[in-house]
Amino acid sequence: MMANTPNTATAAPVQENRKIRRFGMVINLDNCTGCGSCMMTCAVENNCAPAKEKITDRTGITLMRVFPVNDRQPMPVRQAGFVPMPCMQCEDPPCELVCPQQAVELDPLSGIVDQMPQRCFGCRYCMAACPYHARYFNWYDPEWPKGMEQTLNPAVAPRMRGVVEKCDFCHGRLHLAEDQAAIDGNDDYTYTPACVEACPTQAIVFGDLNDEDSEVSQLAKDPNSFRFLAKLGTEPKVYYYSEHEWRRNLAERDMNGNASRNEGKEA
Amino acid sequence: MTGTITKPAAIATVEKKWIVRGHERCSTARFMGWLAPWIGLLLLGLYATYLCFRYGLGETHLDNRFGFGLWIFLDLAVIALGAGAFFSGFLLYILKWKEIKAVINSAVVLGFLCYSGAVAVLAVDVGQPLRAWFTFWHPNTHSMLTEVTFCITVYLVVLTIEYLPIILKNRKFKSIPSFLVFEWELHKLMPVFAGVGVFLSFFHQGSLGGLFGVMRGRPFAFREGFSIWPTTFFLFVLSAAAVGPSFIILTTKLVEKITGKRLVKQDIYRVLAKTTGVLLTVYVALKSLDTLLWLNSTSIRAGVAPWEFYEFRPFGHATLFTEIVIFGMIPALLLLSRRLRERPGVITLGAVLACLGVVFNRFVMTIQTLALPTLSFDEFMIYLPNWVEYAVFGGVIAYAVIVYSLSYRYLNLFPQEMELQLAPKEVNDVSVR
Amino acid sequence: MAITRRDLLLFGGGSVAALPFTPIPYKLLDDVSIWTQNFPWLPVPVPGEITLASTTCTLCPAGCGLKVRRVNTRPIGITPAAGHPVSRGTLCPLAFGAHQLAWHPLRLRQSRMNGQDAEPAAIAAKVAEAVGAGKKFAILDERPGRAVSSLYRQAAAKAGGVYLTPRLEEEAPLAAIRALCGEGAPEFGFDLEHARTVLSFGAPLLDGWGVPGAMKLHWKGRETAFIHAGSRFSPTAQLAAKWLPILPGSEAALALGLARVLVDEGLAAKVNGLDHYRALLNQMPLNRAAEITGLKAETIAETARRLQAEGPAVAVGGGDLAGPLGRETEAAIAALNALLGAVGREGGLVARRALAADAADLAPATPLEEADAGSIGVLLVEAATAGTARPWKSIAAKLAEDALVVLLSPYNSGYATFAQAQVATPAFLESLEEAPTAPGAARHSFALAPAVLEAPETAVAPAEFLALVAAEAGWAGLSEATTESACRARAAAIHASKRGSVFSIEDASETKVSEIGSADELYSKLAAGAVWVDDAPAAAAPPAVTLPGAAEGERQRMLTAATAPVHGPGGEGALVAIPAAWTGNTASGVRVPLAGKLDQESLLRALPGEALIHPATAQRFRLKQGARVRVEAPDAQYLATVRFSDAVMQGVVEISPGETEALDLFASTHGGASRAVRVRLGRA
Repeated sequence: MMANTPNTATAAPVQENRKIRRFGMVINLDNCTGCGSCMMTCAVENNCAPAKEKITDRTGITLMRVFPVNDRQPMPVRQAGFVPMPCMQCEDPPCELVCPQQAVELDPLSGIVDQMPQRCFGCRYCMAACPYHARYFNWYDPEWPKGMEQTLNPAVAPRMRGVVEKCDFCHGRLHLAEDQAAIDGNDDYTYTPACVEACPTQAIVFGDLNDEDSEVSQLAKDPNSFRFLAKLGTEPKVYYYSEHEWRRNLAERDMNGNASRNEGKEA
Repeated sequence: MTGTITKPAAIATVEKKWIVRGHERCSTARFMGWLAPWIGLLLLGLYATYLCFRYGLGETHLDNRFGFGLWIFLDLAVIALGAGAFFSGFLLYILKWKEIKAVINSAVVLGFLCYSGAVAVLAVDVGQPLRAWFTFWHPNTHSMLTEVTFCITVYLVVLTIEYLPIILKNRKFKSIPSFLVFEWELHKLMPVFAGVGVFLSFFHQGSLGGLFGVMRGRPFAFREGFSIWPTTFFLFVLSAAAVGPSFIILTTKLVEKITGKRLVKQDIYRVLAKTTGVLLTVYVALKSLDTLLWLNSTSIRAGVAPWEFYEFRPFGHATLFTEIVIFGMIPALLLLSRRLRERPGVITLGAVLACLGVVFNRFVMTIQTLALPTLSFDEFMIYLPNWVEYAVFGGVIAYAVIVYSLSYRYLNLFPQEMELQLAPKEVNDVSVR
Repeated sequence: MAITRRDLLLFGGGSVAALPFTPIPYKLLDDVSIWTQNFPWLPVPVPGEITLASTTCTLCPAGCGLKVRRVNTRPIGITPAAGHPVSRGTLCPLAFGAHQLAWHPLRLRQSRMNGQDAEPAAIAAKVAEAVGAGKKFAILDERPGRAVSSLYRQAAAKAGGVYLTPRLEEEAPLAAIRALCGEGAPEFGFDLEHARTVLSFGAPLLDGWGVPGAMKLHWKGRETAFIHAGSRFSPTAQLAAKWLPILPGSEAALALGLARVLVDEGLAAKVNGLDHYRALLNQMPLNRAAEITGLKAETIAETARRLQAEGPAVAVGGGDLAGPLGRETEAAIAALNALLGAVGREGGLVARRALAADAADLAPATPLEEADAGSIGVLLVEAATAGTARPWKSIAAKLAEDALVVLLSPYNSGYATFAQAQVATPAFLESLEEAPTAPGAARHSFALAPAVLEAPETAVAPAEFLALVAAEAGWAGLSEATTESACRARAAAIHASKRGSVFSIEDASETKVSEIGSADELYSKLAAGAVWVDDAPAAAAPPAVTLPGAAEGERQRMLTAATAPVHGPGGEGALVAIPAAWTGNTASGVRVPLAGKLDQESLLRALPGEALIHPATAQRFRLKQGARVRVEAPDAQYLATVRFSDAVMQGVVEISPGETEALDLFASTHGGASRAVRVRLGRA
């Protein structure tokens, strides 16, 4: 996202000698306390600006967003918890298909769905196409209080108004790891996205799903692991884990007539 | 004193010289009075546009869930209604229905206004309009929106070319010999352009439907289909073609009502009405079939129970009933029946219902699709546009009315107008203004 | 050659036709789109090498270790310190954005007096003058227990004034236990790590108690059962093994009900004073307790049995960061702990090893609510940036007429509107700070937070300001004091004790204090970003505990607190208001600039200034979502915005305080504050 520099990760052709990774996550919902540390560190890492007064929960930019969820039982027997939602990094991303000008690209080397704000012209078709609501639009230019622009992370360029952005598994950190690997002449690298690093209960496990031995691959295969809206066939690389059935049942909409029927909020 | 009187009078004298010879038009002052409120609305729209460009789209009520809102919905509706232009062209130049000649000029102007208006709204709607050309530079050939962008851009050029000879036939322009030659040459090429226009239109009307049909992540919109085209592709083409003639009926009748003149013969209305009737019948049949397939197969495989789409008020089962029966079957039957078509009131009613039907369909596809939850813990959401969104669209409506009014005043939009004006039988119908 | 109109037209037309075949339009398009990608008003971060600086978070009393990611001198992010003995590699959400606090829009860059810029020395002179004129001097230290706090206590002693401390919610129930142990009792801490069953009375153990995620980490792989009794369906209630949804304010009734079951069924541990406590419990039959709490009698009985059977069990009290439980409720919880045998037991309440005794010339710490009303003539307030704020009313009640209030804070916020003078102090990370023992902790600790940012030249550290006052007032020995000298003294005391070990954040290494050569060496280790943690509590015989309520009057007060839990008049149209706060949202400082991600931009937490209400309750009052309402409590009122939530109890309104003003609602006239208060809702 550095201004005017081509995205080397996506521009690089897949060379035969380079390791192909499929970065993914398993998020343990039983460990999530809904504290929001992942959201805060994500905003800092990715240079999101403090929200203007007019911004609401429907126009904010939270590349990682924690949703409060419950089993829709009446109080006080209701069970509730939280679901942290970054971009699901689908193997078959519906957003990539619809973008008219290739501002979205599935990076063949990392398996990460890259969003190029410099290419985006803000039609928001990708937002409509994403069933996970993982995409956010810059309704305004970002603005920092005087002097606070000093705290911006140089690995990530701030986005301008009128473009869509989303979680890209902290590509700034990925690029640093890639650069270091190139210097060391060693292709065997991994890295840690900000949210993974920040989670106080270590609820997020991150790694290469192509690596059979990695913790993330092992966990993803656990019978208690699931993916949201798997029936849509988008093949997300973010898995969730829970030992509680009601949480696993959140994966799909209830086909038996108990799904959400809450009244809509006024706009 | 005299000076202030002579000045407008002089303007009026000059202005009158631009009006088509033999056309009766209202006074300059009256015409200005008619335009004034529309100009006001246009200015308001321009101010709202300024707000969006200056501060960002946060000035609207669009949000991350409703990335598409009033503007996209109305754009789709307007483009569907504007299909009257391509479909009339198709009937006239390809199928050689000579009766269509009576309305083709008006249809072309309307088509041009609908498309250019829609493009103008899009320029406000997208976050970075200055980068819109990237679609041509880095096109994603898999995206329906790429197809739409290409077709609409080229078709707008075609419509401009079709509009040009109508302008050049203006009394004043005609006096320039080279214009006349140019016009004549263009006129000879018109069937070619019309053909190109028809081809482009079929595609982008379809792609607009495809826009929604391919959204795998939105089970309400997603449809299976043939090859790369979901069923919505074909349904959008068909519905646009079906209501195009109805929109021409309505606009022509509206102009007749406002001007108090008869502009086309009744049989033209009947021809257009019948066209809508037949096409709408086919559309409703296919739409019903598609709905059944979608509810009983496609959506279930996507993990959504079919009843769930209509669980959230205000989108109850009545939505589906309204769309297919009230705005589909009823106008189809009204316009299909020769006996009913004899009555001008029925034609108007049928055309109104048909047009509302396509508008409603585009509304449902755009707004209900986004309002419905996808994740199990999602909320159903409601979005209400704010004044900025209404004003921008109002500005475009004003632009269309102004340009159409000017066209009607100075150009020969309805070739039968003169004939009907002179017809002694119908003298009573013509109020002298 | 004459140029005709036709020539001009041809030229113009030709130019237009030829334009697409020149580079002009394309270059223009390209330049314009590049401009949109680099709007000149968008900041461009300057690249550089990323380094890490170790320090400690001093925003709330938890004292988490952290590393600041820096590019040159600019802080760009915050990373938790792995292996840190206090924070265990965790941080709360606010810490992650705390490096931006120095640029908060409300940052106070210049000291002010009476609405005008003023030199700190002039403010100090004013303070000294008022003290000299015989006005009673007081210091309110919102972050007590620091080395700097001893300077305040020294100053208070010299001026013949008082040193005031706010209540720390986590400490209050511990103080109540201490009171049951009589003279010479040790300080206690919660040993939640080793408890098997934990019962919390409103304490947000899973979302805001001490170090974030601490309990989850403590209890990982253990069979710890966590029972939460509270009126809010808070994250802690949601994540608890069992939630007891008690009616607002009924904590005391629940504690007495549980005690009654333990006593009646012979499950209680051996303690003194069971006879007089039984006299109190006799007036709280189980059915009564059930009625007041809104629980089933059976649930209370089962919970009591479970606490006894699945020991060690401990009861933890403390409000959701907004308003205390009240003395009587705390006594009832302390008594419950005593009956469970938790006092002085591993997995219960353990005695901390004592620190070196205070020097003789220090004023004792007086709880704010114990200060005499209307007595204070000069008040210095050192405000905490985050943590729990106090209602201004509770402070104002202690002030004499025309009292001089001086606020020491980096921000123009919180109590600023009530202060005649504001001293601009360095913001977080801008000066040497310290993190003393976290409230409720089982072991003492002491960490230093070295400055990693440059403070503005105009900023004056609180200790420096105190030195200025001391110089004017002629308080010997204080005019030279600095934060560093105070911290060095603390380090020397720790070194002399030869206890505990020091953990260095930078290299995650641990060194025993006994192996450190000198006090100076210990200080320099700490000043490089390290934390000292005391040894584990020594095994000792449990102290003798006497149950409260020996006096008839005390029993009566406890019974009243238990049976009439909600303050304020009832009647038709009355609702019970409870605060719904979260750490960092109610402070006398400011919110971290990006904190809006957690409420404004995601509604993960209640928005400041919202009144959460059940839709059915709202219907009764004909309130619509988003309506502005005036919340009228007996002693205060507050404007809030209605939001529906069917997780809120019926007849209850949860107030999410954004400003300290909202807390005034809960500052009732009896004994300082109340957690549940009757209110009326009016249209704003």
